[in-house]
Amino acid sequence: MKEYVKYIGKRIIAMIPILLIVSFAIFFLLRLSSTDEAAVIIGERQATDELKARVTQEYGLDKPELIRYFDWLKGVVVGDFGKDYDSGQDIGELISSRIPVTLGLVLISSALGLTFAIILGVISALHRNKPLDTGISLVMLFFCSVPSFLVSVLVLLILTKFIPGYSFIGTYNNFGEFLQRISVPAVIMALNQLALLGRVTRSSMVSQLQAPYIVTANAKGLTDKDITYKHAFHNAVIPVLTVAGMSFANAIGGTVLIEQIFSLPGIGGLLVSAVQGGNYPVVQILVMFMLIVYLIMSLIVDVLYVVVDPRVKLQ
Amino acid sequence: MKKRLLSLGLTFVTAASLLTGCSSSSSGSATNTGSGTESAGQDSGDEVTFTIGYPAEPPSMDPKDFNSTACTLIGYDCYDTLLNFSMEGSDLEPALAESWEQVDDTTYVYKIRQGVKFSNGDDMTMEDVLYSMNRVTDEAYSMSYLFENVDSFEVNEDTYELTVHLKQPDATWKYVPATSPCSIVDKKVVEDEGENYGQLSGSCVGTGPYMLKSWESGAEIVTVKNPYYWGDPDTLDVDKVVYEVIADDTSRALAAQSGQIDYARNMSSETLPTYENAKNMTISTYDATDSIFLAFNCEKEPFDDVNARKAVAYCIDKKAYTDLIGGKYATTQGAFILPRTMFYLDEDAWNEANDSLESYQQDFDKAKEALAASKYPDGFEFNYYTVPTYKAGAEAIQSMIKESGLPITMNIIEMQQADQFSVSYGYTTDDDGKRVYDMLATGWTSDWLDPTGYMKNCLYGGSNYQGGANKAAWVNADFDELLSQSYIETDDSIRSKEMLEAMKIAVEDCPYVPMYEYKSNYIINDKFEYEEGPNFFWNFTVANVHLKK
Repeated sequence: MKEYVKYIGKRIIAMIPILLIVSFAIFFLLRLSSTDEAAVIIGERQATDELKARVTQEYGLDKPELIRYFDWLKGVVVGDFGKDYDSGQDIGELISSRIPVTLGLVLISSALGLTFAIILGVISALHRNKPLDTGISLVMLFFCSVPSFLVSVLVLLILTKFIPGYSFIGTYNNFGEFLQRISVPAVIMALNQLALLGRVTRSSMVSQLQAPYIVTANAKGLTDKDITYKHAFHNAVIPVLTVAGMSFANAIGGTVLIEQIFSLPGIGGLLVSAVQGGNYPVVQILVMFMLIVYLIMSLIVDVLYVVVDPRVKLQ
Repeated sequence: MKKRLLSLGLTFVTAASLLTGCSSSSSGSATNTGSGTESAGQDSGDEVTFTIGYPAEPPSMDPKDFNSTACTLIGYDCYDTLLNFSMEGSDLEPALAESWEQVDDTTYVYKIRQGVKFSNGDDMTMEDVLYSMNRVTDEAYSMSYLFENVDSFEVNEDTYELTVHLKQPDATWKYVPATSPCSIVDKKVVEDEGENYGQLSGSCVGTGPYMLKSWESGAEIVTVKNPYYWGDPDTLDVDKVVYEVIADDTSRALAAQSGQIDYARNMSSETLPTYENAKNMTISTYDATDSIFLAFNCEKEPFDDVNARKAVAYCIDKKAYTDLIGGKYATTQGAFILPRTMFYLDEDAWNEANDSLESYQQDFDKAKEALAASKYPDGFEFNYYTVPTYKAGAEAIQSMIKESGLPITMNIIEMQQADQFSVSYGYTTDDDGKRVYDMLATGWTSDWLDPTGYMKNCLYGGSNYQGGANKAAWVNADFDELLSQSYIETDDSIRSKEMLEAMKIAVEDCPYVPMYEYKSNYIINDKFEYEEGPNFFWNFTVANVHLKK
């Protein structure tokens, strides 16, 4: 247990330079474009020089960019995320209620996708080249190739048409409502992940089941159950976890469109309009947030390696 | 061990979510509770809920920030302005001011209603009135341009009179008290909360028929009846207004179709069929003050030459452009960039002028003549700026110019969405400090029906500055003289004549190519009765939404 704590602690400390580098990159990459930040803040309305001067001063746009970067970084460290260019709202206020939605979507869809991918992949491998395997593979191929936003629109059309009480707008007041709102989009996102991970599980499992050590195990008289789950599965699941790590990262990006379609008050909608509108402070914070989620997810995957494969050691 | 517990926990959560997802779907709306899942048109008990679906949320609930339709739909009802526009848009009606009078050319006196309370129970005092007016005038807020002619405000605590002193006569001042910056706020609350007022973390206190109950950013805003409302509470049929933020066009249309929202507006051509299929919902349209036109940059080559402008204008087929871009509710413009609703001062004269003056319909012969008469008889090249969303329109214009066979080359420059205001309002400049584009598709929505709502912003020389809406950078001394004259004049019929004269100059000089005007549209649940007018932006209130008898 102690070495886990130590390992995780080390990994978290190692995240700090990554976060700093990315924050620096995102801050300056955004400002490479010639977009006039004061004009973005003023938006679509007539403005006098007086208003522009007031905006420039209020948002500190006249300071050198490096100083602005450190001001911003200082703010983020103490929890002051700055002001939204579009509405003038405090960004912390703006995103605090949205984070649970996005996080819920990512976690639920990833857990769901991974669990069912492994189950279906193993079943498929055990029934290799039989109708069950072909069936499962076909379904997976379908969900792997159809973009999830298309599935979302279709599902929404069907749900609103055939289930009169299905609601996909507004907010939630309790945990039950929260789950109800995010379950359908989470399942759709999971399907996409399931398709990819299931296919990896299947092929990895198939190659393990054909390996010479399985023949040895058979010869020694081990039961089928032991061979499949103790030996083949442990070895087969490692590449699956590697792909899962990447697929989780995709899931974070995938929430952007799905949240829009299911009008979920997550960070996705905010990110889309912020990127389009040149709303830099919001983009900066959301990119940092997504990066943190990604880093934590990959940490979880790394720890899972150790759990499933005793040959992998914490380092 | 902990990790195992964690993964077990996750599996449990997912299973639970699947179950709840399924059960609530199959059992329908009967089990749904709470504002989010409350189906529009289904009211718990006698409570009447009116659910609005709109893609964006207001920047804040402070009237100083009210500058978009989102604010109109949910923010205005928390406040009252001094006056209101009449439904047809040209007259003014009492609101917080019971009566008003113009004492002389530059002095207006408003008699303020007594006994009005804010939604927190505080009395509305003359101090609040003075504070609210000074606040939007002194500080550079988004609507402060409305107050540039104000010299000072003065209140009399005993007689409840607000006196406005103007710097110079201004025929359009009479409209200003009916606009959102003239909402009265509670001085004590606003001063206490400072920057937080009206924000997610702050409060919203006004005298309007409804008051803010909750705001979940990105999702939902709820207002309920204000118990201290000064008007007759029995006239309010709607008890609760739920404003749902639904960013995606298709999802919003589906929400209307499945009865989750009672009201939506500005439906796009793509989603209109879905709305048309919505049961128990009716689409209505009304004449608004929106129009779309092309702007030439008159302060630099090649369009500093009037004949170069005309050569391009004569190449454009407005009808084809309108059909392609405008959608179902668009009508091709005549000679004026102003929409026809704004002709009300003297409809016959304005309509006649709009129809008979040069409207630069496609005519390649005339284009050729104009080019020959210009500084560039051998042709020229120009840059047309557009955002990706409107590229189809730019390409249409490009091909029309090509079709003319004239030696005019139009380059399409795609700008980022984020840069569009910077470019169109002239913040982005070339090396000479001039607006960067040669040509631009743009549009305008007037603050009121009075023609000044276009002329002052889009054509007046004084609006040609960085941040100004004179996107043609067109300055004409005769035009400016006539328009300024019309501001001093109080007789509407004389004003109308002066403005019409000025418009004739603008048409002849061709700084803009008028393209089309379009009706505004909205869809509303059949159980409600409601009608919208051209001044929707200032006039919308759920107090006017009634249950059908």
